[in-house]
Amino acid sequence: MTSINRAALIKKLKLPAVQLTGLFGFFVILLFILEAITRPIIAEKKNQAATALMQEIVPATWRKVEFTTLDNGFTRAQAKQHQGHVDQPIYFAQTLTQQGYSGRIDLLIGFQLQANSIKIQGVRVIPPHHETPGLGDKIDTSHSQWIYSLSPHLITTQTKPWALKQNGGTFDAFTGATITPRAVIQQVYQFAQTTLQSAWFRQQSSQRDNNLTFADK
Amino acid sequence: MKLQIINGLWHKNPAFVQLLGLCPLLAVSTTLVNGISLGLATLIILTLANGLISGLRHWIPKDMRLPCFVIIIAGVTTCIELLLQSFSYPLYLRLGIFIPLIITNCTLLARAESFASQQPVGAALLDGLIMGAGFALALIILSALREILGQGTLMQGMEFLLGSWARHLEIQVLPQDSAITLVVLAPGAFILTGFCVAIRNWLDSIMKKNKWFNTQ
Repeated sequence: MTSINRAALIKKLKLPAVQLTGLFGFFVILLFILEAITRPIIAEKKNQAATALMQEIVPATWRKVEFTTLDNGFTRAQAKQHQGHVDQPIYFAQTLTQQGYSGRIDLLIGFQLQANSIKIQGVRVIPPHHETPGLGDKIDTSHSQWIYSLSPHLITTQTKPWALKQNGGTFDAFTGATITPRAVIQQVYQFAQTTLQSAWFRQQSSQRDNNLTFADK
Repeated sequence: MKLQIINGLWHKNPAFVQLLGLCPLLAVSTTLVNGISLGLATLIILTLANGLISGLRHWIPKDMRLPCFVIIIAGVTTCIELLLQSFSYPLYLRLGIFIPLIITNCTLLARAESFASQQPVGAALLDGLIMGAGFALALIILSALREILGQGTLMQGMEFLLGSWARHLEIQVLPQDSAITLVVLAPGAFILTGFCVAIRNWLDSIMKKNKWFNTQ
């Protein structure tokens, strides 16, 4: 008795299952194509948003800032000041973390290079992100000042991993959200460590040492 | 046809009569621009989804129709979201997660189930357009009220929709100090929606009593 019912059930469901799968497959293909078409446009828009954020991090006292894109994807901002002291250039990098509460958060990190360390000048979240409105979205400058507390900070290879106060670290979280700020500070630390150990950093350090020795003369 | 339009906008208004889609209605109606934008988005998605469901109605299995409706609505919404992201990035950022939340707007599922899956494509498209217009009308009225009472301005942020020239369209209807904060938050939105429903019902009863517009 049960085996007959099961066979009849399978026969009854066969066509609807195919129809459901077919419908699903149609939309997967459609969205795949549309996403591929719009990907460059959206990436361009995102880059424009990132550039606008760079202007925010660069000090207001700098006049005539020149932005150059470097080979490794970083952007260098240099103030074209010809009288007196020339500031250290600020380097910008885009990085991302998948550890946000709702997944991916894109970050723009502005930093300066020093002897054996990186000085974080500013961190901003590149929109869009999908953190919870009212809770996790306090990483936006439009909702809270929290992200300003991430700079200025010095990171060396000896610095302990960045952590929230409740995890034994020095960074405040904000009310109602811990996963989101933790993701951001961990990613900034991670990025700094990776850069400190990168060939590019060593190259920049040796270049600076060479410049210093020439200047001494 | 005229009856359909009046039904969609007044007698069977998806937001103020059928009380469908209250989540996006309350959440997005903070300013008039947000209301217009989401109203437009919902209208387009509802029309397209209705049309697609109607076109595919002979291939949608009877016993599994709800998952199919949701797949179609979600697919259309994601397409519109991608297009919006490419063409108006500031507007996309402003509306944020409320574009994907259109999928949860019960108006779409209700129209799919009760109309689009049984009618030819033309009728379904028209129904989607009219019901979408009804929802957009409710959004616009509520947003305008909330912006005037909660911020004192009207048309703040129009430049995200119409271009930078539209920044001058902003008018200060009430002084900033007289703004009621409650109206900007969810409870205030809910209270104002209740008032809108009540006023609509009251006007409807007056029109019936005096036999204005003589439609049922």
